[in-house]
Amino acid sequence: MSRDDFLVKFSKDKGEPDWLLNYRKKALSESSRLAFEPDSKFSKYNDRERYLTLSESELEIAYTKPEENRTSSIHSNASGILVEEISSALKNDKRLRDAVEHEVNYDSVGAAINSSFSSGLFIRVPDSYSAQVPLQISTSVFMGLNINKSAIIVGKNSHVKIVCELVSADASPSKFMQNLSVRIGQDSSLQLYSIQATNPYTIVSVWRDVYSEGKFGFVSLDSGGNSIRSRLKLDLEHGGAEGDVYEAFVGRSDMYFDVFNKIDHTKGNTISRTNSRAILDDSSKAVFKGSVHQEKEAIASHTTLSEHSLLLSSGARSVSIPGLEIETNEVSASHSASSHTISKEDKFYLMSRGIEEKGAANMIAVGFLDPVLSKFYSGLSDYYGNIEERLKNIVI
Amino acid sequence: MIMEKLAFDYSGYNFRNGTDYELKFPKGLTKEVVERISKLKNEPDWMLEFRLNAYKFFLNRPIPTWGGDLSEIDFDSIHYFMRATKSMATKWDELPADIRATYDKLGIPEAEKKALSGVEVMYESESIYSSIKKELENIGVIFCDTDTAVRKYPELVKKYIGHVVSSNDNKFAALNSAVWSGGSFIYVPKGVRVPMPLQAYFRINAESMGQFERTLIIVDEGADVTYIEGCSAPVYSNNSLHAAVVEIIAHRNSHVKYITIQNWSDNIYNLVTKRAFAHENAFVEWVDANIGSRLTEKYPSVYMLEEGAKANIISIAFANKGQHQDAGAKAVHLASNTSSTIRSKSICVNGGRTSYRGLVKVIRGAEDVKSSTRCDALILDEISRSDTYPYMEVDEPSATITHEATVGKIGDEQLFYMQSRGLSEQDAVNTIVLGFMADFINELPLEFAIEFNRLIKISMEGAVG
Repeated sequence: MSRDDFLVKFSKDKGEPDWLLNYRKKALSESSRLAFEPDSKFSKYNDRERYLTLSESELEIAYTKPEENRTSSIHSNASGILVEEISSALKNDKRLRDAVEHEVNYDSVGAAINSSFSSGLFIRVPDSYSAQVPLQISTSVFMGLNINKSAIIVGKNSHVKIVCELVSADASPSKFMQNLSVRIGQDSSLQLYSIQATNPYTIVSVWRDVYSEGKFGFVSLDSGGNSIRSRLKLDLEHGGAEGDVYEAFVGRSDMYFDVFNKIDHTKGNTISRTNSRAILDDSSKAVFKGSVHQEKEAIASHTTLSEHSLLLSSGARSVSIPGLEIETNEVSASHSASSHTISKEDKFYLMSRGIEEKGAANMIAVGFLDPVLSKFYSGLSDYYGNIEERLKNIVI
Repeated sequence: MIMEKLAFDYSGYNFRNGTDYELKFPKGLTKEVVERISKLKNEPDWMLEFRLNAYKFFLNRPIPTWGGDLSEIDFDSIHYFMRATKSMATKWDELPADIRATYDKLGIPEAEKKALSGVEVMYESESIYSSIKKELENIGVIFCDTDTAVRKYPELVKKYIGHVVSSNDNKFAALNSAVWSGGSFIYVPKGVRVPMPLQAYFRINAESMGQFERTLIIVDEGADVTYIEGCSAPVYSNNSLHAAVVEIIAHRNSHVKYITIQNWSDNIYNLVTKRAFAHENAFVEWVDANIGSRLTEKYPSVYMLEEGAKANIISIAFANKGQHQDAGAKAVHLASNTSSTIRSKSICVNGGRTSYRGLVKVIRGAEDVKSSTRCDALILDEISRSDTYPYMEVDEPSATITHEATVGKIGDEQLFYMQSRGLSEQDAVNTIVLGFMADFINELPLEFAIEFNRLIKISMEGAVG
């Protein structure tokens, strides 16, 4: 049986409609056509490609043993917000089908996920809905493959916070591959909080594909896993749309972060702010690839892009490429990047106040991540009394 | 729009000479062309071998796709060698009148009298004029064209050529290594400080010409030299190619300052590899202004090989209609206590495109490295484009690396402020643009700052209203 035959059987067994089978087929053929890192500016930096990609044999397992390819998610009660399994939602929800069919496969990994996912959640927030309490989703990663496709569609004039946590079900090696599609309607806002704290044997690859006509806020803390690939593609498609991206990464042992934020200002009066920060210990490495594009029509758009690394040990490494492409002059754009270690003066100051050396270093490291962590505190502390303590424990 | 009138006046450079060439190769590049160039120059075998090796690399290397659009370069429609005069002159009077007129128009002989220690002039493929002040020659300073150096100082050339930029570095460095001709060769002996700058002027006069000069600068321990190069060409409908390689070796405690004022016409592809090796406590400065050409891809680099080496790179780019300036800088820190600063200023107008592409790299074990990069871009109208692609690769935690950049237009408040002080709108724009480039102009020797102003006269007369 060929790969395509496996896919047909896999899709038929799930009782999927024809359009979905065709969608998977197209994604499969694109997965072999597209590169792991299609943007030539960044293609040099793909150290862990062989782990972070989905190999032929893994795809075959995904098709032939779907029972071994699963994630399980639980979520808090949220009256008014629809939360259902992606498989049933794809069969029933017209808007989701439209959104999915309009997706463009950007790289080989994203396409492979689209061709082989077998679990995931669909979250739909109706028009004119304001949630007081955040919707909380916790996803567990199991041994082996976990290929997940999820989607969030927020209607018009709605305001919602969603907290996603990714944890390991046990201490076994696993691979979590997710495509998350997000659509935000006009005059709406979505605050998405992400905490990734899987075990040190986990490979995590998440594609977030966001079309926003409203406000999108993304705050994340990645402190688990071994090889982590994070992709965020944010299209600001409507005048007044905004995107705030605050990401923190905590690297230990030989962890590797491959982080790519691609932000497109297609319309005028759009704003994006990106702040990526990593503290890197042992022989961990972070690669920050940034690409902000302000197109011809993006008059009066504003962007800031910053990528900062704090290197804590002699084996730690960082790469930053904060790229800007600007096609008109009625804009403001700035970027900054830095890489440094804890200064002796800072440490001396804290130690002269009676804090022992390790504590001083920890304080400085937490302080370095504060621009990101404080977004968690300010957005979530009303609902989770101990969030500050909890995040600090994760970082240290 | 006021900005539409902002343009550098190229008319002073856009003149052609009906030169009678001594020798003109037919278009196209083959192994025979490489061999013929070498034979014409009576080169030793090792140089022919160097060329033929490079030619193989050139054939195997792909055309780079990461930068500007190179698809229109047709390697078969270029003349790879042209000889304009029988022999090299050491006095201006010895040059044929038409060529002499070219340089008179550009003001080179006049500048030589006033402010230079030596001058080297290259016309098409070869140097046609070379002179150096006697007193410098007497203390062992060598300043001649690289062809002469191969004959007169083969040991030095053999030791250093291809040492900094290998023939297989990239497609255009390979092409240059295969067919190079002309360029400057400088050797400054230990402890010698050259008091006034040495200058080279490169001129492409013919259509569909390829100029491939090779410059090699060796500055011995404790020595100091400033070198200035300028370039221009008339405007033709067919594109010409300029693919130079510049190698600098800065020995212990030496200082080199290399200033480029690139003012090619806008049908020249300017694809240049410039790199310096800085040894212990050496200080290398690149001051690089790109005003002309259709597409420039040029990233002056400093490899800091030993402790205490320093680099200072200033890159200026101006892109007008139809131009793409893909310029930048590279600072590679390979030793402890090395430091670098990079400043980039770019201006684009009338649909021009500027790109900053830079690299700061620190290898593991190179402790206490400091590097700061600052890029500023000014976009003068809504149809122009500016890109910034900085790369920072840091494998050493003790390094302090910073990068910042801003992109924007001339602020309405700035214009309003200056107009409220009595300047016309046009003068206000002019003042702000020149002020934006002050970082660069300040780096020029005084006489050249004045010449630079003449060289790139900003023509904005009658722009208001």
